[in-house]
Amino acid sequence: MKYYIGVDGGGTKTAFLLGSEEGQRKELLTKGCSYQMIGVEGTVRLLADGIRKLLNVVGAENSQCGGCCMGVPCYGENREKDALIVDGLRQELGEIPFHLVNDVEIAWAGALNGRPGIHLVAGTGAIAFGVGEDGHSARCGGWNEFFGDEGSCYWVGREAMSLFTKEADGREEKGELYELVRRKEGFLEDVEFIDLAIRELIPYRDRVAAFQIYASQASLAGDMAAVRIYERAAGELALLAGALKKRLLLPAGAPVTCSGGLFQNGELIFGALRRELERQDLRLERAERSAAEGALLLAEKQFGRDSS
Amino acid sequence: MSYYIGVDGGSTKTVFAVAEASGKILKTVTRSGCSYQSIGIDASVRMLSREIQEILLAEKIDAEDCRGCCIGMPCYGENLEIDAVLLATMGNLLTPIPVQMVNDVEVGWAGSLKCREGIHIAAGTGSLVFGKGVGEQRARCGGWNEFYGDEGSCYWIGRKAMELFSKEADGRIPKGALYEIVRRELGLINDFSFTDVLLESWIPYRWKVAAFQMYAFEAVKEGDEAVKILYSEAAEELALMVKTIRKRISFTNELVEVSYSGGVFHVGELILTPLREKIEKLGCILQEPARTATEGALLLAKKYFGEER
Repeated sequence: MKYYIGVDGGGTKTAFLLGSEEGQRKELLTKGCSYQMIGVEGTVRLLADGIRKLLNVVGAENSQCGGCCMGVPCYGENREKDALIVDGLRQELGEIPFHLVNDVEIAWAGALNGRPGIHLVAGTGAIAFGVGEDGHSARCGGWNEFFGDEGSCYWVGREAMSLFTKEADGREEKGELYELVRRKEGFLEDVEFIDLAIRELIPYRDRVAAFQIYASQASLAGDMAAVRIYERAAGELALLAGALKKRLLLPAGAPVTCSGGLFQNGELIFGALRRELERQDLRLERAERSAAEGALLLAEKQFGRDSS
Repeated sequence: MSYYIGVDGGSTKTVFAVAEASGKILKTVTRSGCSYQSIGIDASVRMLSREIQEILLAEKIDAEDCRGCCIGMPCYGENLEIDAVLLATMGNLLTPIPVQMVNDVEVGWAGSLKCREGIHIAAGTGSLVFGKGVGEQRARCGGWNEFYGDEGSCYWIGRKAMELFSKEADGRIPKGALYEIVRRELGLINDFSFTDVLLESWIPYRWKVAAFQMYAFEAVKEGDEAVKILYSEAAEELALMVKTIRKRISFTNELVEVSYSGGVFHVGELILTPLREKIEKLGCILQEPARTATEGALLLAKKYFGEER
């Protein structure tokens, strides 16, 4: 019997999913595998260990593994690093066939079950991936959090910091965001925010992204300036999808699915995004499956019996 | 003979001047930035005092003949403890010269409006607006920090220009002159290498992010409309700070004078036209700066230390 493995690699966690030809499923969760955080060697070791462990759990030999598909953050953005990861994995995994893709590709494969369309990821970063009816694929966005990742949690977090200062110095009316940040971060003078941000927030990518939660809570409490941040975020995300629609020659009404932490805000983001996507002649759909299932799907497609 | 010293400190450069009591400037020198946020408190005060002493030495001026020194310092007024340390240390290092320290936006105002009531926009690497109203009324708006603030500054425009390049590159907006200029100037082989080049040689340096603004300026000159909008957005952010100060303090005249300083204004009418339009709607009038920020620091030095001694 053959086994296939799909890996959903992220910045904070990695999900390994093993599937057998008979429909058996086994899952394993580990920490994140982004080489930007743990280095190329760390990435290679974490991925290889996870795969070996899963095969061990079901008592399978390496030769019984039909193939793995791994979605890895930043894959495809730096040729040298990509080559190092591939070489490292080839040494570690030996005869096990594998295929590496960017993590956005497996998210698409899961959410749209391999159908043509666009998948938007808005977690700490933001990127869009689409596949046309001719099978061609393309990515848009996701350059870097400093100047890009528009519409991501990081981006919303930074916009929320800017809004806090505007509410503090009178450029915007004082709203819930101002009260919330002062209360939760516990400072007395507004200028203390500068020092706090420099020491405790800005150096940590995840904390800037987590600052987004204040904007979310303030929006729900009626801070309209905070609500407008999500409207702008939706505009940026729809812009990514619109660009891909054009590049991939997708038809009007093509499906768009979403994943990532930003969408935990429910209608606050979906409401605005649905409107913005309609303007681009695109249709928001619910994701069908997880990214790990998408990776498994791609592994079966690439290495399975019916693969060409 | 008696003399005054004025310093216009910035995060990218610092200008020192020494003048006679008559106002005649004897010497002006430009050195690197003195922001303690960038180089630390210790390096900042040592650099300032060393440069001041060197000018005095070069001009053969005895410290005893200096009536006072006014230093416009980035971030001054944002942390009371650090402010106290800066002032005390500078005082010690420059003894017997009396020292006054203000935020750098204030020397900008003192120069551009010759200490009259009004509002001064400082938009260089960072941005900050200062207002001086009736009596002792003063207010500041903006600034905070380049990461999430400094709206309308060179840094802010520079980062947005990076964003526009990436949008032109991946098809979110039509490719314009900015795309070509950045590819050429950064020597990019492919668009994806943009991020690596930036992470290595631009983003870690505050002044280089601000300097990236120059590509935006070039692109507008070559007709990139998307980039032109960026300057009008910057003007909007600066006008919002002016509007806030106009509301927060009172002024004698109905029509409030607004002037400016800093690198953003090197692009001339590209920023001045939208800015003029926006602030005129706020009951303000845009004035060309009468003097430089360095001259403003000299004016303040004379104001603080002139008459009493």
